[in-house]
Amino acid sequence: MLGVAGLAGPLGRAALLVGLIGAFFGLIAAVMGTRNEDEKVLRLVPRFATLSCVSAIAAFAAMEWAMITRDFSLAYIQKVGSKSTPALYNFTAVWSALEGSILLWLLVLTCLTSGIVFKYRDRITDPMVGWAVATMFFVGIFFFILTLGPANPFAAGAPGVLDGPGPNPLLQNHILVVFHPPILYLGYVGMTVPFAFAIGALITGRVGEGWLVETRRWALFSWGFLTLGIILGSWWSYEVLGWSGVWAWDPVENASFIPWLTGTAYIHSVLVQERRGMLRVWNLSLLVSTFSLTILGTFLTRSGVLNSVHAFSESHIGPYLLSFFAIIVVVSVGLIGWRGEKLHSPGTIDSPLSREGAFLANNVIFSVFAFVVLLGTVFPLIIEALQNRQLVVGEPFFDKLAVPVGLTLLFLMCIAPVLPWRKASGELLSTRLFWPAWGGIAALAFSVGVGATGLAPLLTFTLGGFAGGAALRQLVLATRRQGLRGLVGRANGGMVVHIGVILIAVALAASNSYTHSQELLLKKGVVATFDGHTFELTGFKTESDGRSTVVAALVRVDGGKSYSPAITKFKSMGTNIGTPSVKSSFVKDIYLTVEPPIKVSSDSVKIKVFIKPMVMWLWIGGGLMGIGTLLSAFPGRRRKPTDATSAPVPSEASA
Amino acid sequence: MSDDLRHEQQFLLRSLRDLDNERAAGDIDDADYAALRDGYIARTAAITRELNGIESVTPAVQRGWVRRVLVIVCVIAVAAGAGIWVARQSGQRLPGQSASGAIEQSSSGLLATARQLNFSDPGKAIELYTQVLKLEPDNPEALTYRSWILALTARAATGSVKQLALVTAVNDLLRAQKLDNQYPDAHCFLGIVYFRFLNSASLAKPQLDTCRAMNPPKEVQSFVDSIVAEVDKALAK
Repeated sequence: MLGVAGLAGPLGRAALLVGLIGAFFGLIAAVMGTRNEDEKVLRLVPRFATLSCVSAIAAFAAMEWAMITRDFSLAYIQKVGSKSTPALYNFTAVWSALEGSILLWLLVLTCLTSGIVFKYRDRITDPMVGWAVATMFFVGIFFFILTLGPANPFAAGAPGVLDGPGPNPLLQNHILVVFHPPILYLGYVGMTVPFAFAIGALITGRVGEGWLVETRRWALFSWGFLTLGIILGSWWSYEVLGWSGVWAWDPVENASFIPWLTGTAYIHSVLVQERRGMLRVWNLSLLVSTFSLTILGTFLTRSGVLNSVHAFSESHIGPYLLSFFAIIVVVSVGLIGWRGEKLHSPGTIDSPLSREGAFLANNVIFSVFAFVVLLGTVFPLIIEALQNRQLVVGEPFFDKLAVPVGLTLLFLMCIAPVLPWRKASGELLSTRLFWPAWGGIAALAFSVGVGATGLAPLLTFTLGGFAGGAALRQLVLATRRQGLRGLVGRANGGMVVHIGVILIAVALAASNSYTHSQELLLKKGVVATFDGHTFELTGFKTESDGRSTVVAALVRVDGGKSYSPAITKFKSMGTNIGTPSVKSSFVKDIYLTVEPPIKVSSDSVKIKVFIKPMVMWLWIGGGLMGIGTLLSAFPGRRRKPTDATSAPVPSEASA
Repeated sequence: MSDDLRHEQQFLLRSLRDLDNERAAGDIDDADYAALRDGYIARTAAITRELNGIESVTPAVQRGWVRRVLVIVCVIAVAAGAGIWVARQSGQRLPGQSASGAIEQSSSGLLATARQLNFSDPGKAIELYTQVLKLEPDNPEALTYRSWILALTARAATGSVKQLALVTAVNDLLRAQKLDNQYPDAHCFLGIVYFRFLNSASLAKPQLDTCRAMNPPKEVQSFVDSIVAEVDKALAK
């Protein structure tokens, strides 16, 4: 007899099947209705979208239910479930491995499809909307097939299993595991919407600027979520992995960073198309690249082709994802080729020293950066496939690349915000860059004053001050004219994002250049000193439950509060995971890890201390980027997109 | 074609209007304004003439092709340059390492990777344990397992090489015991090495007894249990 818990498998499978049927008929209705201009058929589309969305929600709920009730009749629960996993990590265990993460992807995608259909329900007869919705259904069908086939989370497991190992220990060690994956997925999956509208625009031949307006906010929100997801991932790496770094150019980190780069290029270049009618093919290519790179990223993450702290085990979905990637690229490139004539841009760049010139330079840099990071990431895989040699493209390569690219982008962030469209004169530039340049000089003087050295970090701080000045200038002018509403809108919100980026660049330069570290053997009652800070071992703390045993060393820092770097032994897996403990401040972090073995009976412990300046500004910068994205998405009262950059904003009465 | 021309004409007319706004807002100075306006007007006039059938505007096809070829050459050059650069920067990947980047491995991370390779790739495992010992010279686990794998691989060797490997293994195991007397694995493996590889049951016996008393990991325990009976038998003779 099936217990209540045993029902989750059949229910989940049934829900996925119903969802697939809903998406399939949704696709048929959208395509046939649009082609035949049959409103009756098109009116069925929202029902199918709702059906597939509700089914995906039901399947996800069934999975959560199976996890909560520890339904070990399912292979997935056998793999990542455990009776001893705490409730929170048990909940998040659903997306801790391949099958569940694809289910989460499907959930977000079907909800977005439903949201799009709901938003455009009155315009469902518009062919561009029809084709966009059809594209979303098509993508949805692919993910339903994955969850019913090679990545089925509801597959039956071996009989007689009464407990499992639980999720990867690294995924049950920090609260960020609750937020990082879903937010990153919102970014990944959200890119489907602008991609779908781009396909709709190509099919209908309405490749002007209308479709951009439709998808502006969707693209912005997806980019914002992708940004937040990446920042949270860095934070997780810092707080959990114990190596004191935030970014290691790990293939899976790169897999999220590459679409972020092309997405960032897109949200800049789209302004050029809206304003000057240029870069039509380029913008379409960037959108196609961004979406297809999210699929390629999923292939890298989920197929088991590489070793990484994030990569899941071997799976069979690789060929499916690669085939889907190929279909997207071929169809999109084919459509762009087919619409080649219509994609001819009426505008041209009048002068390289103009806002569109700066955007073009920014796009070239972002695209080349994305290409080289992609090449560095997949190069070892290609060589392994062709020559059976195992290669690594190490961190120094990416660092060498990132420093000049980052500095060039910072330089563009100094200049671009003050540039007008079409052409800038030297006189205008010197006027507008006067105060920002002083910001750069002040930043340099301050940095040298506090003892900063090294060409790259000093250049970063100088350009950071300069770019910060340019962004603040824009915000001050806008708030003078409009009060607090001057912070809202694409241009002004964008400047808030710029300030966030600058803070991140400065924090990265400082923390990478001026980190000091040292291993210390601490003995009870003896104070050790490093880099002007004191460390004293005051004791040990042990906590044990059915899942793990945590042994923490209590280290008093600077005679104040005790910090407790720990080692957690996960009993079922026999794995030891180190957990750092961090004393954070606006100036620097004191990052402590404990080196094994750690013995409570002993009166000594070996710890590693990292003194890392300005790390907190990374997270503040990330937060500002999120806030800036939000401000950019809500324009409120603002100039028309076609107005001059310095045109006065219409007054309340005239607005 | 005429749709495209009309579209371009409208775009240029709109650009002229925008240009006026931009000048009024102080974004464009007078000289630039005049130059840009003349250019737009000239282009608008040419398109209007063509739309009216007065003359045919020949787009700068030649220049367009040159530009395309230049763009293609640049893209190929960047791609080839990037490829060569990446190839030059690549290096041998060790087991457990990512294809790209590297999260700086702590000794515990290296130990975890090495543990997985103990039997599948003993050479690499020894390499990783040696890396751990560079970071942390007194790590008993790295000393113990490197010695154990060294002893296992020495079996296939002969003469002085075998002798040297076994002596090194025994010395390191003794050092591991000294560093952490509560670590069972060092006792277990030393007992096995004494009995199996150096044929000394009397030296093996106390090591194996200590090992069993310390409740070693399951996989080591079963291995030791099978040997203890043989050791007892040898001592009884």
